[in-house]
Amino acid sequence: MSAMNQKLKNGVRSAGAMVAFFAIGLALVLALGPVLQPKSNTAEAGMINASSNAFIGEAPDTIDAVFIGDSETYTSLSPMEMWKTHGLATYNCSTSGQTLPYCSTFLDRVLKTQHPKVVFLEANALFRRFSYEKVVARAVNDAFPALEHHDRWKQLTWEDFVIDSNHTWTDSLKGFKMRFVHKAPNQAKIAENEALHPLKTNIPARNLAILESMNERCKEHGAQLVVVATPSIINWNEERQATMEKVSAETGIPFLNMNDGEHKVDIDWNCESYDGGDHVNYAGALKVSEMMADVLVNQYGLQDHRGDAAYDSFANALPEYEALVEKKQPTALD
Amino acid sequence: MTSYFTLLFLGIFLPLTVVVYAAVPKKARWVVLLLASYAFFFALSRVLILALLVSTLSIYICGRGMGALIVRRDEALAQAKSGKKEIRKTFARKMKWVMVAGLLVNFGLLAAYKYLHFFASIIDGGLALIGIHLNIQLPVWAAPIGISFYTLMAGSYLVDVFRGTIPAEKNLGKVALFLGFFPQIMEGPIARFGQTADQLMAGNPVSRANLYAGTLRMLYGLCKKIIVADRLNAFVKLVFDNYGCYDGGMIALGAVLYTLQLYCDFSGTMDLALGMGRIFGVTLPENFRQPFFSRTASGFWQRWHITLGSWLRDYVYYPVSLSKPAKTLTKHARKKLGNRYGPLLASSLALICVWLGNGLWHGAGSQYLFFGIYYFVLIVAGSLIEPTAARLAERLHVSRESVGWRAFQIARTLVIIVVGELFFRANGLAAGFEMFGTMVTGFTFESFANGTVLSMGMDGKDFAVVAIAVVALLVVGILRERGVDIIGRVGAWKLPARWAVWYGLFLVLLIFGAYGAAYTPVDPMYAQF
Repeated sequence: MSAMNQKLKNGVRSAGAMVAFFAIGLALVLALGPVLQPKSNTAEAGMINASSNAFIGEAPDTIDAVFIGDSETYTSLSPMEMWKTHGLATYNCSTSGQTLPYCSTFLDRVLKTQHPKVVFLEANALFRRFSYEKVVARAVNDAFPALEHHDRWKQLTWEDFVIDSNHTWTDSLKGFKMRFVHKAPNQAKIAENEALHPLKTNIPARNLAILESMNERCKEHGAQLVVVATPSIINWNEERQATMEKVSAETGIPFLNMNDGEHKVDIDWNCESYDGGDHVNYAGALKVSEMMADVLVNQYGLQDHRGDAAYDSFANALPEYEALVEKKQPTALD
Repeated sequence: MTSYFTLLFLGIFLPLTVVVYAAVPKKARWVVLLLASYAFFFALSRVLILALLVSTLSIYICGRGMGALIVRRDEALAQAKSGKKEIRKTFARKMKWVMVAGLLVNFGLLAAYKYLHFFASIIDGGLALIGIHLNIQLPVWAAPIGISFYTLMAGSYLVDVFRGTIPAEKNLGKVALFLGFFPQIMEGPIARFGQTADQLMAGNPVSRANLYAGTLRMLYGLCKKIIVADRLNAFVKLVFDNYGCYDGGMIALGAVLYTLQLYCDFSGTMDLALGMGRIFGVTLPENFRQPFFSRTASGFWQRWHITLGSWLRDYVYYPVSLSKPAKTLTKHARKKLGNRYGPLLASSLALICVWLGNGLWHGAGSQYLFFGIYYFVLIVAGSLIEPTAARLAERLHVSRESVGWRAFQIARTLVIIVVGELFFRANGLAAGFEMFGTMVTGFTFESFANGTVLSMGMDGKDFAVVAIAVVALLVVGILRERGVDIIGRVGAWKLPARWAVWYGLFLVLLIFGAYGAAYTPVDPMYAQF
């Protein structure tokens, strides 16, 4: 009996020690987070994907629509163009090769300070494959900012240990990235590439699970999730369209197709793409943004905020945006 | 899951396996290890797990076959009153056929996955010389993870059963676990059945001491791999992929940093493997023993990838050097060349088999063959000049055990190692020679002076981290060289100190690790061999 008691005691002690060990470790990692996190939201201060994340510098509740996705998104949709023509307050939160776990993270970040009416998820991200490893890594990075920003040890000063973050920087392009060159598609090369690496046209179950989870969160925050397929002759085809229409019917998530049908944007691929038909350039983005603005106004009732002081960030950014367009300055990737 | 160095493996797969292993009854623990091993293998190589199953079944069946022959032989010997030698011979011949069949299956699979293209190109090249242009086209397929490692383990099992070193195993699960144990499947160590199989089946409990020591060793390995090796990757890749753009100084630095990268990558992975083994109460054989403290090239190979060296020694060197033709050769050579150089000729024959095997094992490329020959030449040359060097030292009154002489030997060996690794890493043999030529004839410090060195994916702070890590590795190496069991000593400290060491290492890894958005993940380097 006493031997059993002793065994039980040892077991409890071991379990207690284990819990204490992990609790201390967890506390240390959590404590490191505020130290390593960038104190400003600029790229120079160490913010990762600074322009795509710069909505955190915008005044709360001033963004009516956000665009989440990969490079198809940030090259196609110009929030400042939509502001300029329709007074719409939108933001482009896309990054290169963005996979759904990161899309999901962006949605959470946006919903912390903003109440968008519409959230657009670009379809290419929906078809993009990712490993479970990516899901775990994303979840860990979201839970422990120290990991995502660990490389900032190179910039640390004593101030990092005492001052709070002050994320006030805003991007004058609101996440849009411009390209002014043009390159016509090479059909033979496209066909050869398609034969070597056929476009994935089904959406894996894990992607659908994240899509549905994003949809739920949007609903909870009063936002409408919409999947949008921006124009591309390399990343879009009829099979993808069929898949997307089926998913839209099954999930009830609206699908906006800019490659075909009612909302087709007529892109002149010979001069409105910068990389031979994958992404549109600035001229193409103007057309896509115009179509998007029409949809936002007519289908989702977004309002013109020009002249409203709460939206000064957009009004103030416009001259800078126009100057960059005038100079035809391509946007650096962050 | 792509390797050990992923959050999915370290944060979910391994802890889950440990918890389930600890929770099930002792007798079932080996089953947990086997299932976890196959799950890990499947996650990395999918359907190619069939290759591992074929290897496992083949050595099991051949082992059982040899075991049955041994029983029959012993029975025949017990009944025989004469002709016992003949009985032994007959059964030995039969067993040899069974062993060879098993070896053919396993090394055939290895050859099919790794060397078919290489041999096809040799055949193509050879035929082209006589005007026949076959242009053999073969499909490209991926190899199962760790095939180079587990094939050698499978081979050693068959030979050991044949030699009678170990009995033929009756439990298929035990053979399967020996071959597929997940901590060692990617990069070894290349263990022998007699070293690990019983431990794997024992179902040792997950003790607090083993958990602490195992995870501490894993952390140390993770630091080596993620802080040093992965940080150096960008620089090394740039130099070796664009060597024509750099002067000799940069190429020399690239070769030194590659040597350090490879060491930290491979030995770090070994620390991880041994640490994981320790958690399950399994002591895997060490694969590194302070290799950069070696005083000779042959000494280096007794400290670097030890289990490969010992495998080649036991299953190539000895069988070749003790074979009848080698013995005959030694006898004749003794007569012609004397007692000093005669045996050296025969052992050189065995040595060239070892070093060609070593080179080829690393890959089907001319640079790997050259790498093997490089060490063969150096080691044989070392043996040849050794008596002269000893006499010279004696005449010059140089103590060969003095600190200065030992330091000189270590420095000389380091140069040999770095040059060898330069050829090993180069993108082909021609590139290796070109880089070596630039390093020797175009050595300048210009790239250091004009700041080029800091524009190659590593800034000053990165170099500082590497320098501090090298000092730390040196201190640990010196302590180990002096026989200090560092983990054992730390494990005996009081709890707050023990935990502080663990947290310290963990935070160092977390902060200074080369992972995340700014770095490209690097798979364990030896997993590709």
